[in-house]
Amino acid sequence: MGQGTSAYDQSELAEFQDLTYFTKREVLHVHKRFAELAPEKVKQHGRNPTLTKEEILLLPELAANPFKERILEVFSDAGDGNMNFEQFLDMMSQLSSKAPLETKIDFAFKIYDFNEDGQICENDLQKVILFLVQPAVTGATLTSDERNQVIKNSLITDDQIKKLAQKVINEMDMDDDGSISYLDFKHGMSKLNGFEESFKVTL
Amino acid sequence: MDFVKGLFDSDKESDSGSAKKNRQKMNKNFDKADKYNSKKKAKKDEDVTGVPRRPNRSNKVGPGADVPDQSVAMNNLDSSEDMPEIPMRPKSRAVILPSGLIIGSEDDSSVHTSTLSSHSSDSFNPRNGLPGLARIEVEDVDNGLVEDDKKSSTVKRQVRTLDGAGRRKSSAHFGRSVSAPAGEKLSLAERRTLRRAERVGVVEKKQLPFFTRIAYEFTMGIQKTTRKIQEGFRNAQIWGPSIKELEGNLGSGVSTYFRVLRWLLKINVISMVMALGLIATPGIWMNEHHDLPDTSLNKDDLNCTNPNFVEGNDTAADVANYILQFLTGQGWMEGTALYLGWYPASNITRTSGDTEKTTYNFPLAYLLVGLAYFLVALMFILNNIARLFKKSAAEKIETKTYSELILTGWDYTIQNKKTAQLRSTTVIKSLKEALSNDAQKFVKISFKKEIGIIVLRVCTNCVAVAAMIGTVFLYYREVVRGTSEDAANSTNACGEKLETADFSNLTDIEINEISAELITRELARFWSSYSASIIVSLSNILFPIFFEFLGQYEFYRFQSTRIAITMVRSFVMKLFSVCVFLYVLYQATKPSGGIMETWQRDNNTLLYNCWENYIGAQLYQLCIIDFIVFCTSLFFSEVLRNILINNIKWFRSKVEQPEFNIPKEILDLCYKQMIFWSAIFFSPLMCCVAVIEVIVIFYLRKASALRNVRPPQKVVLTSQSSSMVNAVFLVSLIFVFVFVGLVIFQFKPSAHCGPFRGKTKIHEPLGLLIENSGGFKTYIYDNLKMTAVIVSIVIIVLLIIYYFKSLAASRNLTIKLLRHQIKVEHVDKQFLIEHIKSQITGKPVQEGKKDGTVSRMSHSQLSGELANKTKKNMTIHRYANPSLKI
Repeated sequence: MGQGTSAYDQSELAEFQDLTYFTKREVLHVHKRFAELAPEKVKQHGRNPTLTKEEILLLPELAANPFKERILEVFSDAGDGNMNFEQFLDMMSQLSSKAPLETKIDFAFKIYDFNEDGQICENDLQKVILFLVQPAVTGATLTSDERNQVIKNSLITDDQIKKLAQKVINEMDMDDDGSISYLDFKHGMSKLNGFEESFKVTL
Repeated sequence: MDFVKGLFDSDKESDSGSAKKNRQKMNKNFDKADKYNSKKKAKKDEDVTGVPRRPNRSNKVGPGADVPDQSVAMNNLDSSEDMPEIPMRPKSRAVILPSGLIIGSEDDSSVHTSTLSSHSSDSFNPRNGLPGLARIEVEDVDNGLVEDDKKSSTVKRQVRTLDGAGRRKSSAHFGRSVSAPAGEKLSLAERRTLRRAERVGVVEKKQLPFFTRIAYEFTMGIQKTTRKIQEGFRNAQIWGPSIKELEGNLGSGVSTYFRVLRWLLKINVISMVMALGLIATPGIWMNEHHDLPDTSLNKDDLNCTNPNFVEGNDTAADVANYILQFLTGQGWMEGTALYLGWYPASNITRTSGDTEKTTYNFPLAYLLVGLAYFLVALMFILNNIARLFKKSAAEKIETKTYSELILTGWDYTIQNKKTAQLRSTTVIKSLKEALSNDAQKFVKISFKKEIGIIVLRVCTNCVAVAAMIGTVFLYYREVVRGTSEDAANSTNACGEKLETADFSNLTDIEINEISAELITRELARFWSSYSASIIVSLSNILFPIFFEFLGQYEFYRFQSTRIAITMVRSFVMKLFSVCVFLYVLYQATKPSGGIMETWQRDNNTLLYNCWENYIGAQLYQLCIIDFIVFCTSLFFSEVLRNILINNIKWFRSKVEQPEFNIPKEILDLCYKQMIFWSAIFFSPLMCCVAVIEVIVIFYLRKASALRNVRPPQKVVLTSQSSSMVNAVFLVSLIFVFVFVGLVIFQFKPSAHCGPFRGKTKIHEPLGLLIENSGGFKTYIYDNLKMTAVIVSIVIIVLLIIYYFKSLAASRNLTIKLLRHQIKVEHVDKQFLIEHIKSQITGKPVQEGKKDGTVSRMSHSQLSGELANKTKKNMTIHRYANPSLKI
């Protein structure tokens, strides 16, 4: 590996095709997009350089997503959001529309499990709601945290957030242990309609 | 709006669906091979016990575990090797309770012991339906350690199945950085290493017996080709980038509309190929080469409208004429291949010796293709419905409003910052609304108020119905008037035909006067022949707005109810207007007692020579007018509005940016498709018009949506709305089909035009074909024609539907009970753990400690005690609950 930025040869592509949900053509397309993020690095380190979180976040497909950093953290090896092309490809493959529902549910579970204890608890859910609110807050032209807080409060109160988190747990928790385990989550999500459609990123 | 998400994304869905199937198939295949190999190797391994022949491959490779390739297969082959040791993957989740009970392990420890017997990987706890809940039964714990290597091998396999529970079937992906509940996930690099190693192991394939190998290669070959074909289709998917762009800017809800458009394009293109290939091309060829004298067409016979379009020497009038005729689909258009009347009635024949052989029975082909359009459309719709059913599997989807809003609330497809902001606000709004709705559920409305609301709703419904009926009546009158006016014109106009005037003797002024007169007459005529279509199209634009307005004053507690009611009303209106249109056509042309027939009897001449063309022309008009109305309303309601908002301050403060109303737009598409479906039998080239129109609509809408429209403001959680859209299309298709069927089975074809001329009924060619084949088929056909049979078939179908509905209801009850059981069993487990703990520590069981609050003691300690205390057989359900893991 690492002989310049030239495209992968056929056998390597075939391998990627087997290992991901992408076709050869799509693998090349993903590589092209990846290389465009940091052309300098690709020139220096060959075709599988490690890009930093910030560089990957330049992707317009991720830019508007409030969970973008979380996605990268979950998917990078070290958990810091930096990834090389293969990790990137793997991530994109699992976010693509061709990935099976269960892969996506798995992915989503990891994203929403903020404290990484294998359970989505009330705190995690409150965080999810806060993340959902984020674009509405930061999307405004205001930048200072205080103002953001004010806007947030006008949008939704902490009390409401707490209530909402409890409601979700009530709905999803099958075994009544007060938090959403992986199985609860998997079972619940496979029954929700919009998930498969909205949980995808196409490059 | 999250309305009808993912419904029509057939390509994508079928993709992943079939891929999954393939994988399952593959796994099945290799399970067989697996068994075979394991038998064989079991013998070998007895000699070499203790030495692992190959580094253990934990049983999965591929993107997660989901491998679209042989690797899983080869992997399964290997993993069945009998090894005395079971190296678990680091941090793997198998818990080992000393002295035998294995639930999960934290380290690389190997399992030597136990008399575990677990159900195979496929037997997920069938009682609660949760995949991945492997059951472990501790048989006789007292047996303790097992020295027997053979036994250890069975244990190993069980552990494997245990660990791989849910993986082989459901092929879940497991977390890495996160302590995922069910196992570990390999990175791409790791998977590749494994895959390469597997590739080396491919040699093993040769050990398979000849036929197994052949079968293997055969299935692999088939899978590879199907994959290639699928890929080809995927690459050929049109409008992919456009839809992605729309999705990024307006969210996935709006892209549904465009997916529906793409879906309609597919249907119409298939119809077009059939119409062009099987009807138009042979028809044109026959009209040029095979004009038999007795069946040849007289151009005058084609005219359905007895046109008194003027054919002056004046160019202005000519052009006006030409354009008007093009728009109304009458006049010169009637003599073209657009309409049924133009097509020949003869067959393509080949003379060999003395006998003539029919090679292409044109009337029969026409009839069959006419029915095939409907079949194609029906298959497309049923395909969608079937996929939806597979998803919900007859289980009533419970509404999980909050989970849906919070956990699936973010649309990952959004790329546009502004849209993201809007989406976020929308989600918050919906969440608050849901909270207040919940609060309102418990608010009691006073009796008086309730009565008031009911009265109000009755009133509004009356208004809605009255408005509909009024429009329909107006429209009916217009059509009848139009027809009788035609009739009147046909007698009068001929007497004073203007074209006979000698233009050469007139002065310029006089000519101008005459042409002005002609043009006004043309306009009047234009109105008279168009009034019906214009009324229908306008009512289609105005009524949904009216219904929306009405819905605001009905005090519906939930917004979703309001939207659903508005949608149902609009749909009924659209269905109504098309049905009335078709009904009037039917009335006008029906063989006995119809308007035309009466006219014919009274005046002893034909009003329309070719009623088939009349129907075709009317529908063509409707389609053209509808398209014009669509473009105008798009221009005014979106383009102009947006321009005004952007440029005029006053306007901005008064009017909001237009919003993309998905249900309304989809209904509109349904209405357009309904017109195409009803027209297609009477004018085969209408499907070309349909294809062109769909393409034009796509680009117009796309351009306007990207510039002028803001994303929908409401997140509407209508889980069943996707099936609703299918139902809408299905109902429209059935209505149209009934109309076409009536025409085919009841009407007498015109004497001088169309492929069915000279026959008593349109369906005769089909009847002849069946009668000629004789016997049983004739019997069936004769009986099918009877109404009683059709009615009884409908009743039987209804009964079957009812049966399945009640079946689904009973299953829902079972599901409810099982859910309850899961909870109860969980409580049992907690109680058991509490109890054991109290035994160990000597403390009494604390009452009142409920689920989830059980203090988590050292599990190794616990499990050791568990093994000691529990002497009898017992069953533990393994939940992927980390609190139970070591």
